[in-house]
Amino acid sequence: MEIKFNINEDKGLHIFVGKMGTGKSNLLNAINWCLYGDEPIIEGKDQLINKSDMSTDEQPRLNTEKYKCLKPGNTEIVSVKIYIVDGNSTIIFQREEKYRLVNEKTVNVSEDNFEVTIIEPDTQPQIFEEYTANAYVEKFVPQEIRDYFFFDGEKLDRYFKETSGHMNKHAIETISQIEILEKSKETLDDIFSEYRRLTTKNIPELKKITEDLEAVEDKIKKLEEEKVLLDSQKGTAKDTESHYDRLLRGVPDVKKLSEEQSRKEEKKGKLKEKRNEKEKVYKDLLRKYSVLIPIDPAIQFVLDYISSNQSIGKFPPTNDERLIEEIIHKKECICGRTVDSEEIKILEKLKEKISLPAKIVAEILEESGKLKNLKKEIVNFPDVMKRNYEDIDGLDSEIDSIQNEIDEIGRKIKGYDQEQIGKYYENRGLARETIDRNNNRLGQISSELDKLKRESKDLTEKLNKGKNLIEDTSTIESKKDFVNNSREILEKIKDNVIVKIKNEVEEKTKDIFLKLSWKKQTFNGVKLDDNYKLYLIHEDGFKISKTSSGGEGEILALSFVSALHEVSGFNSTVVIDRPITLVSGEATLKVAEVLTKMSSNKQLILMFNTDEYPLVSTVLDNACSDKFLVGLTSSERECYIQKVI
Amino acid sequence: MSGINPRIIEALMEIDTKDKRIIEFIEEIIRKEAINLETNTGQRSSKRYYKELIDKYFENGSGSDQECI
Repeated sequence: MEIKFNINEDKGLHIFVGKMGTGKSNLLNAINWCLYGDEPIIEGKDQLINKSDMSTDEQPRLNTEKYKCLKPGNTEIVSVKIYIVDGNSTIIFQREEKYRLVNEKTVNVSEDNFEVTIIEPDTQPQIFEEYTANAYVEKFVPQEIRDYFFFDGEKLDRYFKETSGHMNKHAIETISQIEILEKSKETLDDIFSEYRRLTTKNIPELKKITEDLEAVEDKIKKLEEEKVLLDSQKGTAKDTESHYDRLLRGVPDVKKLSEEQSRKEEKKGKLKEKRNEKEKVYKDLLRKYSVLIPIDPAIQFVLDYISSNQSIGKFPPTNDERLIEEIIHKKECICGRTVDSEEIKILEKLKEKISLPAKIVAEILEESGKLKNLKKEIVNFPDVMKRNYEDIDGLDSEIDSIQNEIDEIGRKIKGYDQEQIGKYYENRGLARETIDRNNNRLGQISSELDKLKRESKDLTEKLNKGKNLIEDTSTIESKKDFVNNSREILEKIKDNVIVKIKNEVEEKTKDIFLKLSWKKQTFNGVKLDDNYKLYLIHEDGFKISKTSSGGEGEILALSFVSALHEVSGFNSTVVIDRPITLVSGEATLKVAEVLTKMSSNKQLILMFNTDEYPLVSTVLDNACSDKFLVGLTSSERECYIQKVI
Repeated sequence: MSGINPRIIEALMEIDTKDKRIIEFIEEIIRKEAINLETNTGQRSSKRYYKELIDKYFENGSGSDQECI
């Protein structure tokens, strides 16, 4: 497939419009793959996601049609060529790789082959391969700053975020060519150490100090390298965290909620068990009282009867009926005396007076304790039943409340892909762990460095004092001083260049922003702070790090990108996938107008979804030099691109 | 873009030193590093080149008659 753009000096705007999933992002990936050998945008996973997250069983770069129809023994080639016209020269970047069917799996059978061809009038084409080709790309757009040239529109808000500071800093260092100064300094450090060894090698005491100093400097160097690595990892982790924050904005932590839901279900189950036990006790009490309550009057009667008889001294009885009967029967007293008839009559009268037998009275008195207890239970019945009822009611409320919480969680997580979201939360958590771990280690490094630098200073002073005692100042000593002075100057240059370029980028961003923005009255400046975070300055003088509509943020980001291009001299084409995805309302048309303005002095390739494009078509249809529709063939295995303007 | 960022040269020229050899030397070595980066040449060749340059500056003695920064 070949896409040929109209080259027009006034219009450098090229539009692609297609439905989601038709392959617009592939164009961005194809450019990245051709120039750098990788594809940063893979189905929603951009380079912020750790590569180790991705399946190792990667899909071949072949399109599905070719992939399905590949026959054993045949070779298919994936190739991307980019033609750049620069004045009279044409630069062709070309990368290809080969695929074959091996053991029923399509595999890449060659390392990708990359070359750059330069065609100039009246001369033989120059062809660069391997590292010379890569070096040519670095001169075209360095890989380190490609994010400022070929990007997903969603990333436009990144320049506003605190976490983007390290990216901006890195971009400014890259365009400042700090690497060149650092390499020079590194080599001078090496030479300096060598000279220092030479000047002290014949004096054992100084040799020892030099060795100690070198050991300390070596440790400092290693720690500083570790610090740079940790800072970089921290920056990437902050970006990753921020990326997942964006993906998870408003999305619940489904995995955590789901675990919480299970815990609540378990608690609900235990409460239900407890409630059932309470209900059983309640029913048992009801059964017991349903027997007791009807006999309450009888119990009361007996207790009253006992009480009244006790009060008149009848209970317990003073006369034993059986003893009287026995004396009457035997006519003999228990002392053995014979009882006469008169006495028998008295005894018979006494027997008649006894209304209850002593045995029965004894039994009645014996049971009275139990009756009293039963009576007590009957008296307490309303309270006991109330308490039980309240316990059950309390448990019911608790169960209802937990059920509501379970339902609420259910509503929150309904419709979410638990596995995917869980993975997002996990990745965000891992990024946070990295940030915390690195912060911790950076703190340790900082204090170790302080200590080592003090040691280094002390040793250097000792060494210098020792050397002052040596009369013969050799040429090597002079060379060493020369190198040391050069090292210091290189450091100064490095600091000055970064400040200069940072200020230039800031100034240029401000100029471009004020030229492009439709809110010139509201904002009157742009600030790139010490942490390289980008701010808008409100007319009242305060800094604004976030805007509500996204429109100003987008324009600021585009201004920053343009400023970087101008200052760096890397003035390549800009490719933006879905440039209006973060803006809404009237800002959408304004952003489209800004993109049109930008395209008057920079080639822009923009990709829109079918549902987004109508929002800006009135502006862009007239401004673009060409417009393409992107779609899938009926087999859905290949995409097609049709030029419509 | 190729070569050295002009701002680096500008910053170098702004350095106030009486030993002009240092300015010349630094300009030489950063040009060398720029070429090395483009051609993927290693640090060993840089070191040799730097030392040759330094030797040239000091081949007639210590060179201490020139004041350094």
